[in-house]
Amino acid sequence: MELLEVFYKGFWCSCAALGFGILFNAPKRSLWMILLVGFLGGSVKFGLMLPEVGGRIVFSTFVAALVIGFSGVFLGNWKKLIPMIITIPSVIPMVPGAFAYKAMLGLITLTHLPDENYGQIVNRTIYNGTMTLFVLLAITLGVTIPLVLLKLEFVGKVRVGSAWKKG
Amino acid sequence: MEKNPSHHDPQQLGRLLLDMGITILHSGAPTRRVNLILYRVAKAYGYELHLALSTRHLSISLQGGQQENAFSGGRSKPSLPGVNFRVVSEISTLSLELAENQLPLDQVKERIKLIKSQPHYPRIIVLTVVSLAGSAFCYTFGGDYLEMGITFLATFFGLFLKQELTKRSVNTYLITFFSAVLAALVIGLFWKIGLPTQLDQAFATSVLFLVPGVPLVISFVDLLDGFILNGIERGVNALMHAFGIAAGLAFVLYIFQIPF
Repeated sequence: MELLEVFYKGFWCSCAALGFGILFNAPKRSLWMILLVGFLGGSVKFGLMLPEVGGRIVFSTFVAALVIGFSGVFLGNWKKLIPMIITIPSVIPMVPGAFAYKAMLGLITLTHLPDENYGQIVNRTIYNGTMTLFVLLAITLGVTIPLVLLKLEFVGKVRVGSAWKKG
Repeated sequence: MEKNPSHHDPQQLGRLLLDMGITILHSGAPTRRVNLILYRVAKAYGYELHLALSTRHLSISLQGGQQENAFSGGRSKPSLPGVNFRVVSEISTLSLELAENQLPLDQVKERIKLIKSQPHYPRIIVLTVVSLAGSAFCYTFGGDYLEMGITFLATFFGLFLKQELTKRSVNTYLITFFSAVLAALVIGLFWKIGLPTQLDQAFATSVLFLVPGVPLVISFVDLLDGFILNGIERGVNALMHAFGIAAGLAFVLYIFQIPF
């Protein structure tokens, strides 16, 4: 059952999110939200990457990060918490560790003397490096769009834009 | 400014604002958040605030009702920002509360002191949960249960070393490097023993607890808000941590001569 597998992966994503929440000393009352939002993000990402849906990894990560961003803002406004506290631990499981690792290994291999495989290693390294960059961009943009560009966050009586205006 | 500014001592208010600002700045708050909280509190007490901040320094000046300068001062901290969401969250809550109801400044001072002295989660819980997170990573990247167990051990030792070195105030990038080396070394030892499975996923995920996720995201938040200098500073900081991780991993792969 592939759908079950997706939720199973979502569960492990939420475990990872919880770990980072605790590492960053998130308040106790925010931990269940981190678990929930992390699960949501992981399920959306791996759900979109199912062969039936056929989402590419950058797109899936972007959508998942947007879901995390919006649900984090919603929960944060509801419980008077800073959304960043919920969203940052939840997106960390999507960090492109495997791509970064392969890009790095490729770079190390590029220090060897060139032989007939050299061109292929260059191609692989550039591919992995670009994927790392774009997945990171997708993550950060997905989280920051609801916060910064749409300004959905509750900030009390002072509006964000007015913080630099006089009086 | 209908409120009578002389009702609250601007000197004490200024010192409190500096304290609040530098505390949240050092707990991983984006520039916008620091601006917002300080502005909110200053306005609640009937002053106008002007501030300049980088990632290690904060200066503010307060203006009273007649545009006269009531307080100016700065505060800086030599170390780079860490992450402590609980402090950011509680100071934010405190500022919302102050906007509603202006507590006496002595009381505010006590509250800030209390917030700053709050403990982290117990060390053993942090170690266990972060190691579990490491093995969870390993699963989502396609590792099997054996790799997950090994990643758990590697993360545990790596994080333990990181905490120990942080106590001894070693250079942060060196801390990242050595923790990455130790974590990868644990995997390398298992590889040396000769396990039946490929340890690719384990190598890739064992160092993920060091990923500078907070500076990375905050860097983009700052850039999109137009705080270009602060954004670049945080971004470069994150990049240097990433280089530290890469160097540590590469070092271990080199000494074990692991072919990939």
